[in-house]
Amino acid sequence: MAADGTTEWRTGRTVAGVLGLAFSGVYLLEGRTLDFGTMDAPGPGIFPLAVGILMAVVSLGVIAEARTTREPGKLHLPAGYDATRLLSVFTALVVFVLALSVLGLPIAAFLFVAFYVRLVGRVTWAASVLSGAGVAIGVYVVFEVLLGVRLPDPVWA
Amino acid sequence: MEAIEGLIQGFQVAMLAENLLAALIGAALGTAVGVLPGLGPLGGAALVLPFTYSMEPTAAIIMIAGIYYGGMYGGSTTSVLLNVPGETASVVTTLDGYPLTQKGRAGPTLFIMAIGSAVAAFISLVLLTFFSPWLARFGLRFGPAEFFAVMTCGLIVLSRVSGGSLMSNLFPLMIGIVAGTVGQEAVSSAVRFTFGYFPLIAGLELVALAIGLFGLAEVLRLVENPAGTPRVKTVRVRDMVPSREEFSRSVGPWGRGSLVGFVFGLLPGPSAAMSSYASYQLEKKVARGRAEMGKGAIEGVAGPEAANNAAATSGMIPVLSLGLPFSATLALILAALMIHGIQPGPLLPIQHPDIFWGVIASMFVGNIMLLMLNIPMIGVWVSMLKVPIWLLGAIVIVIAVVGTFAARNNLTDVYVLTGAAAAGYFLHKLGFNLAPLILGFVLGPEIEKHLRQGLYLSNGDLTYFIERPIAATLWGITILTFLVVFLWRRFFGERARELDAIESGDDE
Repeated sequence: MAADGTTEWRTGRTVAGVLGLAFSGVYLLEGRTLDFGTMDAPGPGIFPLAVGILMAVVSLGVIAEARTTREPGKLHLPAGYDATRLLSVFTALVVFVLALSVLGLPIAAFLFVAFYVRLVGRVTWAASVLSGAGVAIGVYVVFEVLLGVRLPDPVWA
Repeated sequence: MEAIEGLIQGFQVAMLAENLLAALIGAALGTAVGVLPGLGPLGGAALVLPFTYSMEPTAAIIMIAGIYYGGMYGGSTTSVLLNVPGETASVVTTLDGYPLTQKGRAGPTLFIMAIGSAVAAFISLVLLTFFSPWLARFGLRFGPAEFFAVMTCGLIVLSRVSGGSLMSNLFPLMIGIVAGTVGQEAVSSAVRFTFGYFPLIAGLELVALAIGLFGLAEVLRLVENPAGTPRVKTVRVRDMVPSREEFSRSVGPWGRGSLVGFVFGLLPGPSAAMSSYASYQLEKKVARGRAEMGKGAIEGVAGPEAANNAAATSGMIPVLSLGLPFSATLALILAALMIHGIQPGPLLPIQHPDIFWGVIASMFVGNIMLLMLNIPMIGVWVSMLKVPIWLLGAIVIVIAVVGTFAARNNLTDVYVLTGAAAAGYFLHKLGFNLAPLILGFVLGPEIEKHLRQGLYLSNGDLTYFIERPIAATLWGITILTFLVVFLWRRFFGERARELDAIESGDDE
């Protein structure tokens, strides 16, 4: 098969369908404990039951379509350095978000932005530190000081 | 007569200082998010949503609506100047807009667009004034069966007529509906699907999902494929005045585009994108400059731009009068109404005429502001394009985190935001449309409510949902739509694919 992305698309869609199907199983299992009520006095469990079944059916539809369609789409995931950069940024995002409860927003944002612009913009360390500080201070001033929005606090505050 | 009184009241509301300010800020922010890559009108509206919680409901809706049409205008600006559509409704604008820029007519084109948007908003307003008393009478006959039918059928038709295959729309739709069932349920306060994780009791936050799926996922794509900062020529204000010929050639397309857009806005589907496409096709047949279309005819910009703006205005009608949004951005507007404790529906024009008419009138006022913002300040917007994309991406992420946290002061929402970004990235890569996910999330709980009320009223008789005349008609239309789309795709395959290519953006 040529690397035109259609095989990858079929595989990717199948994976999405299987995940959807697995999730609808878990969802239906979890929903089993809810009260269904009766037809004339429906309880909180009845709608999730219908939704869970539909989700399973649609997931099967996604799998069937992925395997059989004559007009598959194309999937191109990044490769090489593009993939490394994307993964690094996403990892940095996760670390940033998890660090919020410890460091608070301004400090975490400073570190994240400095890392991000260094990696994506390939700027010098000085420029990246400057960007980080600029964004962190800017966001703090605009949101916390001017708009009175609460930002995530550091653990020591 | 009551409609005209309503409209006058609407203008009184829209002209209040705080509402004027809301429209101005909305239009300005909208233009900014439309011009800048990384955040469409939807991401922008989602970001602003938490900050409107403390505002008056009318001002909040006016601001979010401003972002919606401002974003479409801003998106078209980059279509014209750079051949890069800011969002899907602006794809068509590139066809003639960019050639016009190459001919050195960028300034007048932007001017024609801005006037066209205002004209369209005005025409929709007039049409709406005649239309609304009828709509209100019609809406009063709605009970749970009709609401259930209109929402369910709306979602089904939307999945069928939106770009891409049926599954590309249904799968995200179901994910959205499933996500909407998480947390404490409204009627009996039963806790559902938290999987033992306590913070989920409050449910998933719409802002986190919308910003993650649309805003952050887009930034991740920019990281994957870093584009250089574009080079744009400066557009000077004094070069913006159109020639007499350009102006006179635009009048017809403005009017036709407005009518086309108005009708499309009332129908389920990605109305802004579809109406601009339909208007372009129409101009290709009837415009004075039809021979030049595709090579830089002003009609090819004037018509579609008027159309998508008219669709934005009339798209508010089903939201306000039936609680039924046809696009993800409109779903945010619906959510904003409900957060303020206002139940959209047929009673809205009666119970809250200030909101109904105020929002509609503000769309006209806001478009005039857009005109004033964009003509003299075009240089500012163009220079925004010179901000390096890598810096922009970082800023968008930080603001997204701040905005999501601000919604409920809850870090769990920020974790959901990150998850939604990853999910949005992969779903988009796989060709799934993301707008149905947001619609499902917002409408799912509403559908459940009407389903349960209906069952309760009918003593558990399911036929109640299809035997009431309006509900039956809606189900009939839905089945008919399915048949028509099926036949259309079968016999006009090529044309259908062309349309798919235009619609299958998820940003709207």
